[in-house]
Amino acid sequence: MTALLEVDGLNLKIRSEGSLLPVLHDVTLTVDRSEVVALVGETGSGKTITARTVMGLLPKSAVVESGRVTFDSTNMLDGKKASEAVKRIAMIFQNPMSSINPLFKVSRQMEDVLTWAKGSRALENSEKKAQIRKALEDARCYDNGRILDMYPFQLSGGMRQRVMIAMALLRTPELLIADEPTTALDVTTQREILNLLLELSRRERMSLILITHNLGIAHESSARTYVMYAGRVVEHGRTSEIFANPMHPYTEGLIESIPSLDRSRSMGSIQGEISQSDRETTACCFSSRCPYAIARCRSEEPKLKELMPGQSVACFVAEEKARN
Amino acid sequence: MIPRLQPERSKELRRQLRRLTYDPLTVLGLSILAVIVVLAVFAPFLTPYANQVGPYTDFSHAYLRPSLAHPFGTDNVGKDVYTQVIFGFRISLFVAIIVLVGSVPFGVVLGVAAGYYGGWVETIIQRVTDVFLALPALIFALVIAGILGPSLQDVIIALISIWWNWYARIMYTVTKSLKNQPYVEAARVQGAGSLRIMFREILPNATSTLAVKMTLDLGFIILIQSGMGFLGIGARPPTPDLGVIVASGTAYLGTAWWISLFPSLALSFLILSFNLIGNGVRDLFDVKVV
Amino acid sequence: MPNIYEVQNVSKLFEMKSGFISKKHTEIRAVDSVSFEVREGETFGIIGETGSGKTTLAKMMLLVHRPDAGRILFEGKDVSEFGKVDRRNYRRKVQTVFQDPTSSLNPRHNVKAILEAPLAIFGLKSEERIHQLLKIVNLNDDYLNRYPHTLSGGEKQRVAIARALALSPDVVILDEPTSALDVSVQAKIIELLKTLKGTLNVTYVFISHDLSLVANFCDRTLVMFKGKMCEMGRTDEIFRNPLHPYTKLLLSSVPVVSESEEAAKPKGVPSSLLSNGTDQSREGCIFRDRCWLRQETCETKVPEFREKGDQHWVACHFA
Repeated sequence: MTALLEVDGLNLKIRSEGSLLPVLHDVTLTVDRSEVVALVGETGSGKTITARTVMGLLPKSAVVESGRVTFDSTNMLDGKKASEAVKRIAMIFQNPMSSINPLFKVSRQMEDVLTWAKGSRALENSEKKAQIRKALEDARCYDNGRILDMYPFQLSGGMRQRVMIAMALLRTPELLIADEPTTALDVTTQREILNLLLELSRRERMSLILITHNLGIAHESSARTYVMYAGRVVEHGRTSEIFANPMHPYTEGLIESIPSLDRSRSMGSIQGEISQSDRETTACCFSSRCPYAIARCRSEEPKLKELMPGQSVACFVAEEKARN
Repeated sequence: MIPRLQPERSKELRRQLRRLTYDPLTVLGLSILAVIVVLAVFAPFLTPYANQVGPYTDFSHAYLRPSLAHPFGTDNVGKDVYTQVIFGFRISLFVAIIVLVGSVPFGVVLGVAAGYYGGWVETIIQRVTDVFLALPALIFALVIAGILGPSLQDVIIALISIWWNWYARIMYTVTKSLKNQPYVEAARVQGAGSLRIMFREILPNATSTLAVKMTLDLGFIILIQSGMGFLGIGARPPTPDLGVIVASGTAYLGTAWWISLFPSLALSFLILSFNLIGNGVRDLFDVKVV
Repeated sequence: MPNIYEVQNVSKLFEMKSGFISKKHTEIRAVDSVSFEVREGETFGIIGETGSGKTTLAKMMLLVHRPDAGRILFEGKDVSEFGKVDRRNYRRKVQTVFQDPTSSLNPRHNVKAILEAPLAIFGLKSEERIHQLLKIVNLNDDYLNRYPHTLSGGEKQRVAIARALALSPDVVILDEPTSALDVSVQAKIIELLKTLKGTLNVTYVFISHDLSLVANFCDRTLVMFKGKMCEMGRTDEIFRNPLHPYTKLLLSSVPVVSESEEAAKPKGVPSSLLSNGTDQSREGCIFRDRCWLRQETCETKVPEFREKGDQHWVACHFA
C-alpha cells in the first residue's frame, strides 16, 4: 500500500543577502493513511519548514534544490497540480492568537474557511451552518452558539486552539499537520487537546503529523517518530522503540535532557550548541557535540540506514554497534 | 526557521550602512543632499558672485537670460540667481537645523515625562500640545510672525514653538507603549529610578522613530520657512532666502521665468532628498531588521 | 534554617471593567489568602497554570504590586513598611529572572550595558565584576559587544541570569526561566542554576508550570489553582503521594517519555475533564468545577489548608 504522504530526499535552501543558506538536507519521511507520526526536533531543526513544504507555504526566498514531495501520488512541489490536493490537507499552528484573524468573529472565519475549501456556491447557507456546528462539536467546543458570536480575544487559549481544530476539520482533511499545537497551553489543556487530536484521527481515519519539541507528547501519541537535527532526519522508527532504545546520540542526549517525573533519570545535557557550520557541514551534523564521535564522523556524512526492522538511524557509531 | 547570522557590532554597523545603499531611492536622496550640503557649506568658494549677497544692485545686468556667465540668469536687481540660490540653501539648512535643535530636546523630554509619570504631568502637557497641534503650522507661524514682525528670527521662533509639540506627542505615545515592557520592569526591579528608566531604557528604543521624523521634518520645515519668505512675512529681501527669490520673480513669470523657476526647483530637490532618505534612515536605525 | 520569606495570608484583587456602557466591574481574586515560608538556602517551587496567581505572587514579592490583604515578611520585616533605604537594600538582595529572555533584555543595550546597569544603579561599576559575571554563566568576553537579537535563547537567558547575580543577591526569583527555551538548552540552564546555587549560596523561588522540572529542581513545592493554595510540602513527597485532586490531575496530564514515569503517575484520574470558564464565587472549593470527587460540601464550604503529613499541607475535604 502506498503511503499517503511521501517526502523523499528533500533539499531546501533559503536565499538570504545574496547567498543560499541550507535549511533542509536530504529529508525523507512517510505517513500512511490513518497513521499518527511525530516530527520531533528543537528550534532550527527544520521540522516546521518540512511541513510548510508539503502545504506549499514556503517563503519566496525558499529554493527546493532536489527531492520529491508526493501526496496521494500528486506532486506537491508543482504549484498547479498541488492546488487541488492541498485542499485535502489541513494545518494548525502553534499560536492560535496569531493564526486566527482577530478582527473577525468566529462564525465569519469559519464561513470563510468553508467557502475556500468547498467553493462558495457549493453549499447552501443552512448546510454551511450545519457543517460549522458539527465541526465545532467534533472539536469539543460545547456551547458553540455562544462561541460563534465571539471574537478570538474573548476565548481562552485552549478554546482558541479548539476553534482552529474545528476550522481544520471543516475541510474534512485526510491529513492534518499540527505544528506545536499545544506549546502555548497549560498542561491540563494540553492533555485535552492532544486527546482530542488523537480521537479525531481515529474516528475520521485522518492521518496526523504532530510537530513538537516535546518528546513526551511524541512518545504518548505517535506510532512512529522522526527525529530532526540541523535540517536532517537523524533517526526514525517506531516510537516505543526509539524511546526505549535510542540509537542516535542526539536522540539519546535529548531524552536525557528531559527531567523525569519520577526522578528516575538524572538530568544530563548535550554539550555545545547548534551552530551554522553544523547545518552546512558535509560530515555528520552532530559530530561537533557528540560524546561518541570518531574520526569518520568528522569527515564523512552518515546516511540513514535501517539497522533494525523499522528503525533507521544516520550514525556511524550506531552502525558499528549494530555490527557487533 | 531561517538560520540566523551573528555579527559583532562594528561588522553590524558596516552591514547596516551598506544596507542603506541597497535602496536606490535612498542613494538618490543621499546624493542630492550631499551635493546641496557641499554647495551650501562652501558657498563663498563655489559661487562666482558671492559678493552680491546682501544689499546689491546692478541694473545694467538685470533680467539676463541663463548663460554660461549666469547659469540661472540674473534677477530683477541684477543679482546672479545661481549664487542667490546656493546661499539660499545655506539659509534653509540653517533654519531647519536650528528649529530641530530648539524643539526636539525640549519636546522629547516633555513627551517622555508625560508618558511615564501620567497623572497631572500627563494632563497638563497633553492639553498644551493639544492646543498647539490643533492649529495648522503655517497659520500659527503667520500669527506669530505677525505679532513679532516679519524677519527670519521670528520665523525660527515661531517654528520652534510649534514643532516641539510633535515630538512631545510622539514620545508620549512611544513611552506609554514601552513603559510596561518586561525590560523596563526588569530595570525597575533592579532599583532603577525614574530618570534612569526614562532616558536609558525607554528613549533609546525610540531612536528609529525619531530619526525618521527628524529627517522628514527637515524637509517640512524648509517648506514652511520658504513659504513664509515667499509671502513676505519671513525673511525679507535682500536676504537670499529661496522663498524670497521665488517671490521676486512672480511678476515676471512670462518673461524672466528663470528668476522663479530655479529657486523653486532647488527647493523641490532639497525637500525631495529628505523624503527619499527618510525611509532608508528607518532601516538604518532599526536594530532588529535582518 | 531561618525563614527568609514569610508570606502571611496574602491576597490581591484586580478589577476588570467590562463593557462600554454597562461599566460592569468584576473582581478577580488573583491571589487569595496565600501563606507559606521560604527557608534560607532552599529552592522553593510554585506550580500553577494560567490564572493560578503565581506570577502575581512573584510580583508582590518583587514589590511591583502591593498586597490588598495580608503581609509579606522579608527577613522578619514587613515589605510594605519599607522606606526608600529599605527598598534599595531589598533590590540588592532580591533579584529576578523573567520568562521571556527576548523581551526582558533592552534591545538597544549590548551585553556590557545590560550587566552594567544594576551595578551603576548602586555605584558599583566595575569592569572586573562584569568579566566575572560572564564567566560565571559560561560566556566569554566576546559577548560584551553583542546585542540581544544576535544571541540565541539560551545565551540571552544566561545574560539575564548574570544580570540577576550582578549584585550578589540573597534571593533569586525565577519566573518560568526556561519555558521559552528548547529542552536541551533548558537542561544546561538548570545545570547552571544548580551549580550557582552551590557556589553562591542563594535561595531560589522557582515558578513554573513544568512539573517534571520542579520535581528535579525544587526542595519544597506549593501547588496553586486560581489564586488559592491546593497543596504544599516537600517535593518528593508531593509527587510520590499527591493528596489534592488538582495535583493528581496535573501529574496525570504530563506527557512522559518512559514507562517508569507513566507507572509513577497517580491512578484514578478521569481522562476527559473539560476546562470550563471562570466562576469565582467565593463559596465552596475553588476546584469543584473540575473535580471528580465533588460533593455537596464542596459547593458551600471552603476547604481548610491543613497539615496532613510531615510538612505536607493540603486544602481538600477528601484528602
